[in-house]
Amino acid sequence: MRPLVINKFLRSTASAVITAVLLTLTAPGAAIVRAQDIQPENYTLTQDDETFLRNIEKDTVQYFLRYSDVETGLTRDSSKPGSPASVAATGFSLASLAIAAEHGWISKKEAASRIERTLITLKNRAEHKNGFFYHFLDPKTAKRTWRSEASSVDTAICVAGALLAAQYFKGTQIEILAHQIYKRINWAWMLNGSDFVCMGWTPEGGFLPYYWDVYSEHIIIQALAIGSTSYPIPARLWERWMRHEENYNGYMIVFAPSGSLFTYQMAQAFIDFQNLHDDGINYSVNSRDATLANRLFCINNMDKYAGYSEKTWGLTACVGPNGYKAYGAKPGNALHDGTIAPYGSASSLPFTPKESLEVLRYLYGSYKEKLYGRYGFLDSFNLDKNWWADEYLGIDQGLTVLAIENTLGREVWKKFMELECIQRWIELARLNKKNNHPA
Amino acid sequence: MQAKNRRRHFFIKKPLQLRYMAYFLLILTIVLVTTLVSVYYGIWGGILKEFSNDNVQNIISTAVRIQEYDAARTSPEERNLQSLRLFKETELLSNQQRDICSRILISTNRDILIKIVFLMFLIGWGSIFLSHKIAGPLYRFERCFDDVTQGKLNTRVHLRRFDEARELVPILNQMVETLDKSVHHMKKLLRETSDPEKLRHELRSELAKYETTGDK
Repeated sequence: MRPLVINKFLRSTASAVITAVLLTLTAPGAAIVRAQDIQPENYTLTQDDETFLRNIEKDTVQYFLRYSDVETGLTRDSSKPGSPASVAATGFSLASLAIAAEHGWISKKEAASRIERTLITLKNRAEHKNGFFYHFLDPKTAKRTWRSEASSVDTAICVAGALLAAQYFKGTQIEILAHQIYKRINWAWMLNGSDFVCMGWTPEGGFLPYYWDVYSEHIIIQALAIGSTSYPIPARLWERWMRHEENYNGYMIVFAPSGSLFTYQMAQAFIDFQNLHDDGINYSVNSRDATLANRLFCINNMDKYAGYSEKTWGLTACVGPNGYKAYGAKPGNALHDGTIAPYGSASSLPFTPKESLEVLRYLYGSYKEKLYGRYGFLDSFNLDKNWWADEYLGIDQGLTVLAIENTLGREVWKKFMELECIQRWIELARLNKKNNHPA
Repeated sequence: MQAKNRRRHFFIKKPLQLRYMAYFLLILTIVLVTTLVSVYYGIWGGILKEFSNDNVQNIISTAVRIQEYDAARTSPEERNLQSLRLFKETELLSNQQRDICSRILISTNRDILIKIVFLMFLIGWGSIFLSHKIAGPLYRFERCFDDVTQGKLNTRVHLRRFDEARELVPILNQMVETLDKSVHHMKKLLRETSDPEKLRHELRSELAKYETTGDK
C-alpha cells in the first residue's frame, strides 16, 4: 500500500470537508473563485487554432537549430551568451529535430545527420557516471562543466528524447545508438541503497542529499528505470514515493512541492497517461486539474498582481525579475511574484486546450513585440514590474514543442508509448489501462 | 702523460668551432623562443580570451543562474538564506575559474608538446644534415687512406661545396700525388734502366726522400 495515498472514498470525503472548511473560512463577500465556477469545456481546435499553434511550434523548434553546437550537437541551456549545454535541453532537441523533419521544416537527411551526430557525442564523448550524464556540459568538448552533478532527471529527459527520436527513425543507426545510451544507464546505482532515486551525484561530494520521494516530474525517471532491462530498479519502488494530495478550491490534486506547472507536464510531454490509472489516480486528469488550479490561483490573486487574469496565467519555474525561480501555485509552496511564463500555458495545451490557447492568443495579440521572437515566446514576463525576459530556455522550448505536437496530433505520445521499456514499466508498475479520455 | 695530452687551446679550428657554436645557439634559441612564445601566448592569450569583460559577465551571470537552479530544488527556508546564496555563488565562481585556468594550462601544455615534438623532428633532421657535412668528408678520407694502404695511389679525394674540412683536401691529395709520382718514377726506373748500378743509385736517391720507423 503506498503511503499518503487515500482511496477514492477518502479522497472525495476529504475534498468535501476541505471545501466546506474553506467555504466557512471565507466570508460570503470574498471573491474567491472555485473549481465548480470554472469547469473545463470540451474544445475542438479550429483550423485557425491549428495554424496558430503550428506556427509557434515551428518557430520554437528553431531554437534547437540555432543553439545546438554544430559539431557535438549539444544544446545550450539558455540563449544567453556563455550558457553551458544542458543534457535535458539536448534530449528535447533530439525530439524536436525528429518532429521538425516529420513536418518538413528541415529535411529528413539533415535531421538524421544532426540527431546521429548528437547521439554519437552522447555515447562516446559526453562525460557521465554509470550512464548518468552531467547536468551541464561544455558544448564544444562535451566535458563536465560548472562542477555539475550527474543528474538523474536530466539524463532521463535526455534519454527520453533520444528514444523518441529513435521511434521516428526506426531501423537506423539512430535507433541503435539511442538504445545503447539507454541501456548503459545504471538506474539501480542511483538509488544509493535507498528506495528513492537520488537527484544526482558529484565526484566531489558523492550522492546529493536530495531524493525523488514525492510526486513530480520524476515519473519519467521511474518509467525508464523500471522499464530498463539492463540495470532496472525494483518495480515495487513505484509505490514507495509519496503522493501528497491537497484540495485547492475544489480541485483535488496530487501535487509537487513547488506547485510549478512544469512538474505536471515534464513527464507527460512523453508519457500519455490518459488511459493509465495508478490505483485510482489518473495523472492526466491530475495535470488538467493542476493546470486549472494554477489558473484559478492566478485569478484569485488578481488583486495582488495586475499581471494575473483569466488570460494571463501560468505559474511555473522560469526566469523572473529576480532570477530563476520555481514559481508555482497552490497546492504547493506557491512562490509567485506576478511573473508568468508563456510556456506554462503552452505546455498545458494537451490538458486544457481552450484555456491555454486563450492565453497564447492573448499574449501573442497584446505583447508580441516584447514577448515573441525568432524562436517563439520568450521565457517569461512580469507586467507589474514591466519586466520582460530577454532569453529562451532550452527545456521550456522543448516542452512547448512536444505539448503542441501532442495537442495537434498525439504523435509524440503514440510513438513514445510504443516503446518496449514503457510497456514493461506499465506492466511492472501495475498501471491499469482503461479507456478514459479526459474531458 | 695526461698532462702532455691536455688541451691548452680550445680553439683548434676556430671558424669551424664558431660555426658549430652558432648552429647550437640557433637551435637552442628556436626551442626557447618557441616554448616561451607558446607559454606566453597560450596562457596569457587564454586568460585574455576567457576573462574578457563579456566572458566574465557571462561567467558571473551563469554562476548566479546555476545557483538559482540549485536553489529551485531546495526548501524555501534554505532558499531564503542570502548568505548561503552568496557563498554558493562564490564557490561556483571560484571553481569555474579554477577549471578555466586548468583548461588553459592543459591546452597550453598540449600545444607546447606538439610544437616540441615538431621541433625535435626538425632538429633531428637538421642534425643529420649538419653531421653529414662532417661525416661525408671523414668517409672520403677513410676511403682514401684505405686505398693508399692497399697501394692504390691513383686515388684522390673530392668533397662537396659545403662540406667541412675542404682545406685538407689539397694537402691530402698532394700527399697521395707525391707518393703516386715517386712510386711511378721507381717503377719506370725498374722498367727502363738496364744498368744495375745506375738503377741502384737512382732507387737509393729516390728512397732517400722517405723517413721510416725502421731507419736508424
